[in-house]
Amino acid sequence: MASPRLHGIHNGRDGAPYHPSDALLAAANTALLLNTPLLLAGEPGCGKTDFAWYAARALASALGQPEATAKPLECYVRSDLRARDLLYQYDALARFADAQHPPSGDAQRAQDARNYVTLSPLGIGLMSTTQRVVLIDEIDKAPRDLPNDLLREMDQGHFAIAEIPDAVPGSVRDAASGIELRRHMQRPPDGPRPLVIVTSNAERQLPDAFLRRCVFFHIPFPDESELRTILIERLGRGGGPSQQGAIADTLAITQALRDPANRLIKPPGTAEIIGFLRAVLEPGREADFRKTLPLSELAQRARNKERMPWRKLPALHCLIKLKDDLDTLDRLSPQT
Amino acid sequence: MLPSAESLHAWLARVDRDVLRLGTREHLIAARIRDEAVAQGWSQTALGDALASALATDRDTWRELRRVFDVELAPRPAPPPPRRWPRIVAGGLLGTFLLIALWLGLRPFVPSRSADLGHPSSSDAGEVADLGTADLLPPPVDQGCRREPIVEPPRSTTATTQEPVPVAPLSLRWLALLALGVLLLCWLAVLLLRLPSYLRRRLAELKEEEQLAAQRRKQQEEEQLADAQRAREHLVKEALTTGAATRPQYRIDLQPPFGPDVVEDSATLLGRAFMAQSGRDLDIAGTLHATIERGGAAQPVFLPGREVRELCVLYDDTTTRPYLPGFLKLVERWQRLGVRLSLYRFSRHPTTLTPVIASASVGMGTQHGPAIELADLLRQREGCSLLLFANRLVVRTPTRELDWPRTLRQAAVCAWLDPDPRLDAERDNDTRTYLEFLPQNLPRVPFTEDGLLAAARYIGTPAEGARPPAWSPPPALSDAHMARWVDVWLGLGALVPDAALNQLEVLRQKLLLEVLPDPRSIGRLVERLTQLLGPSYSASKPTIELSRTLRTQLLLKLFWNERALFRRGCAMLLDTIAAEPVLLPDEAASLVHHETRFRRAWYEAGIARCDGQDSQAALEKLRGTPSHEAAQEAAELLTQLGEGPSSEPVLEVVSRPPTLTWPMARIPTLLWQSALVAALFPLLFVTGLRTLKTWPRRTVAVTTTYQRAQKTQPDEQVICPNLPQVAEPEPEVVAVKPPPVVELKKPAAVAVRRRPSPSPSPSPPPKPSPVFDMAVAAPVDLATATPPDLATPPPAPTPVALRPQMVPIRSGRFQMGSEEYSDEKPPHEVFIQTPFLMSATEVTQAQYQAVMGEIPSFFSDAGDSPNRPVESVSWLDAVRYCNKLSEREGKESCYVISGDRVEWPKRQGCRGYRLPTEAEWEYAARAGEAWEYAGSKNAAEVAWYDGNSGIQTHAVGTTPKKTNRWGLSDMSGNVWEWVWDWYKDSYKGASSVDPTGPSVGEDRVLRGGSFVFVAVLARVANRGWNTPSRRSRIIGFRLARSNP
Repeated sequence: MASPRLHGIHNGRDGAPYHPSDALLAAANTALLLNTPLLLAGEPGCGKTDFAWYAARALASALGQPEATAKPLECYVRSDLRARDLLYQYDALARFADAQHPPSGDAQRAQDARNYVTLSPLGIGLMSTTQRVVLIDEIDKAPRDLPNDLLREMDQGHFAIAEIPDAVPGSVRDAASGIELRRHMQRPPDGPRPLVIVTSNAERQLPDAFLRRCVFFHIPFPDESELRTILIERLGRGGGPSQQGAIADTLAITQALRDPANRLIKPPGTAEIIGFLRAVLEPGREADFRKTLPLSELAQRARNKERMPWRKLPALHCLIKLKDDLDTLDRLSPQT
Repeated sequence: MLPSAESLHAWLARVDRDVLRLGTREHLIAARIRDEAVAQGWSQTALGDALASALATDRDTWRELRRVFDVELAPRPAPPPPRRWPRIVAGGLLGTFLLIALWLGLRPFVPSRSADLGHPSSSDAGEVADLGTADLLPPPVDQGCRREPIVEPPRSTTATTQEPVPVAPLSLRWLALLALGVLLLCWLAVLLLRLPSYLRRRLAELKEEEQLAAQRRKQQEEEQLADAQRAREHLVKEALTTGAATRPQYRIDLQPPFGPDVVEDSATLLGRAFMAQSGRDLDIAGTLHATIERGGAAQPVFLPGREVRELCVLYDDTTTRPYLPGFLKLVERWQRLGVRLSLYRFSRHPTTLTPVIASASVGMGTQHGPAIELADLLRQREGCSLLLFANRLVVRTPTRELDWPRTLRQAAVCAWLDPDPRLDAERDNDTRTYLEFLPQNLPRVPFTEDGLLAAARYIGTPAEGARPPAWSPPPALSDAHMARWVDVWLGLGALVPDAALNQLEVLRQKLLLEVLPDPRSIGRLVERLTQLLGPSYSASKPTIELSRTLRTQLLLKLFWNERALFRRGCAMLLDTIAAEPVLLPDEAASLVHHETRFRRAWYEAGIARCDGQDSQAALEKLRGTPSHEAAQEAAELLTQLGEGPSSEPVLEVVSRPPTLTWPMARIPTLLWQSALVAALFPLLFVTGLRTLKTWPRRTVAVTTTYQRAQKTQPDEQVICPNLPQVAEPEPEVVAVKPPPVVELKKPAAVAVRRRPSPSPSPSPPPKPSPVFDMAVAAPVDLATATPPDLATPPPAPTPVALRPQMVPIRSGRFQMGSEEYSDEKPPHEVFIQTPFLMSATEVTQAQYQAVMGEIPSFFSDAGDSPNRPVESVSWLDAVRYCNKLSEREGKESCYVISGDRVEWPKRQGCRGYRLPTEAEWEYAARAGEAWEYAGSKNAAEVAWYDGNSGIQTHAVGTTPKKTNRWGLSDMSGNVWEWVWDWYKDSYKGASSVDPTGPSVGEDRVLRGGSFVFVAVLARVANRGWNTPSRRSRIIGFRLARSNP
């Protein structure tokens, strides 16, 4: 069976259309082909998590399923996450409490461990009959060995729930997903494998064994035309020349701000630029920007490659988040 | 078109080798991806992306894989066919065609008869004979009509049996030659057009190689430099801590600049110093006469005796070091010649003297007697003459004045021999002042020949009318001879990295004695140094520090003008170094060792350079040692010493693409240079095609040897080049803008009208409050009022009056506005014409209550809140307060209030209380100073703002620096203050004399910043604004009153 291909333009997480680059699509299709996870790296706010939604929708449309409700299965990664928790969770405390004080309707509930097992998103994804997208967001937050612990499961596609004894009568299904719970969770041999999308902020070096099993892609900061498209999409297609002008000015200003010669520790990312533009364009906020220069004037200066008085940029706080960066910009501003 | 499996495999092998280790799994993955790509019809880029994503684990590897994919598997354009071969083939064909055409063209010029004559025929002989006889027969006589020719025309069989020679017609010949010429020209043209691009390519390659090599060299050099600098710093530190020497000492032997005859003459003159004394010899005639006169009582009269006046020579052994040996030699000679002198030594000033006794023994040593004071000496040896030998005579210490000059007056005759032969006016400032203090009877004489003679004459002459010697200064620096030789002298001095004046003197004595015989030339040298170095030079510094450019310039000038002197200077200094004692082994690591090594190498190189040898090697050896920098500088200097002006490399001209706009001058050069290169081309056929690869190099070699030949010429014929005037880099002048000076013109004499002091206010005092006293303050009478003492702060406003104390403000000009914010622009000058009074503080809560009867403020329940400024008052409230206060005090109300409209009809003519205008406020806040805040440039000193206020108002006048210069407090900070003007967002169109703002507006201006905002808003130039009806806990106000 040929693997499905992602293509076309679908909506991202917040409903706005997402435009992936061709290289990103090629990487995603490769991951689908090889049934390996897709590791996405890039600056914060460049659209890694958004891509998972896009992938879910594109996959749904490629498989002929309804697109609007397609969502990736999100794994909530915390610093104390264990690999087992990504597959299933076992509530031992509730079982113990039920054993002590059985609930009124169901005295024997505590006997069956399966009542206290819930499948986590990765487990659901692995066992699902349809091909889903599983998103493990910001795996850097997790302990370093987390990816290593998942290698076998992701390679083979099945896992075992140790808490469930071997031969148990009856069949209990997982409450959320309706998948039957057994000790050895298997799926049909030719069942589809999920597309696991792992995002990383490159804060930590991931273990080699995991990296070699991934398809890697680094999402670069969008170039000017892409950024323009993104901004236009985000702000809605409506909006007259003033909005277009604002977008053009924003592009010029952020290009000047992101100049590597400025040596900012954290240059503004796509999400921040979108936030900036929203803050600037929202009507009725002009009174907050008293001692600032209008956007067009600053953009003109940026185009002429003059020194920019960065403190006079309205909503600078949307773009620059570090005090050191503010100091750097102060040093770069013209001294008057 | 996707790559095949084999090419993919090859690519994977390449990646495995260069980029990333690949295992079997990766190969399988790659194959699978490729199969899928082929099956699904992916594009090349998609395949590349997919492969890169599958194999890479980080961004850089991804990019590298992508690049390798593009390079390796992307379809490569077919390599261009080798272009050289067609040209060679065409050249060969042309060559053969040339030969053929030559043969064809030149053949017709061979005469046909040669073939005729060359043909052997025996049968011909008869015919020839017949021919001959037939010819000899006389022509037949006419015998009638019928005539058969008797002589048959000879039919030479040779002629008939031969074929006619094919004679090419004339036109064809010329055509062939023309075609040949055209082809030749075409060939030349092709060459000319093809050549530059080829050469350009080769040139680019060569340049790249050169660049790489240069880069590598530069890196190496930088490393060496860093090492050397570190080593040097270490050595310098060591030297400083252990007190070792840091530079080699030159043993200077300055001879006294006198010939032997001068010494003898001076000794003679000195020997003539006699003192008149009463003698022992009886004057018989006189005695008799005197006895007779006295009537018989014996009256001895002695003959006046003469005693040689003793000469005391006092010398200073601290500042005269270099000249001292010479002087002592002179003294020794005098002693041997019989001059009676005694030698004393002092240091810095002749108060305490140590006698120097030359020991009688043969060995050198001198002994020193016990110290003696100058006064004692003069008493002991009455009437002696003094000869001082010193460079500097200290006349006063920082704490007191010395009294040796006064003591010196007791001496009969004294003279001061100064080895520094400059005129008084030329010595530097501090000694000049000393010269003023020296006693009148101490003339200063230079240590030169005529100076010595003059001093000797002065001392030796017994008469009182002897004038102290004067001397004529040496020729001025504007004299060409002097200027030239002083520069040469300086050049010689530049050979020594740290020359001192005495070393220069030695150089003069040893090398320049013929041209600069006068030791006073040192004065001219100092003058020139001052010219070159500017005011940073002073003769009291031990060594002369020349900048690098200056040193280079001087040395180059010396080298080109006086090569022999340069060499001799180097040789002399080399000898001086060589004469140093050999350094001990443990000193090998010291700084002085390295310095000595460097100087030796430098002087050797200086000498060797002139003989044409390669002297760089000596200095190259010092790379990486602590003398690295100095050695490098010297090496660069040496290279400059030989070079002439540089010319453009020839190859550049040839390799430039032909453009129609070439200047005409270049074409002839280009033509013959290309002809030169083209002439080599046939040569290469002969030498073989293997040399083709080296062809461009050969061309380059040829042209660059030509180039070099142009540059180098025998040494003697090089004319002194025009050295470019190396301008000393100007020191960076940081323009410091002085603070704007606000001119306060003295106000014209204002007729001060005495106003009767009004009686105390008729209104009853407001309800007494237990906290403060409600006495009414007497208004300030300007006639008798004195401006408040600016040094002391105004008294805190207790007891509270109806209004704050008023401070008179004179009229004047100031700069209003700033360049910082758009509503403060443009900064313009404003003239406040009408003097006015401004309240020293903001209106306090107590004062507001006293007039209006209520306290609307927010911060009204603190302990000191009666003294806190009133806030939560609108502009209209403030205006009403002003009117009410004016009424209370019996002045005319300024404002006409009708509902929400307020008018100020009389403007500055009205004398009642009012709000200040914006210009008046800023003028008073600036107070003629250039601070950013009212009274200081540090907001925390003068203002309550968010940084120090604790977000509440404070009592007026309680900032650390209480007032600004004119006695106003809290102009910056505390609360915003309402002023009269409407707010407009710039100062455009504002009047410049007593402006009162726009005539319409929506907001009134606020000034001064407040306790809740940042300091930036508390600046004197800052403007705020708000609606007049707004009450805010950060807004208060202040009073003003015109006083026309």
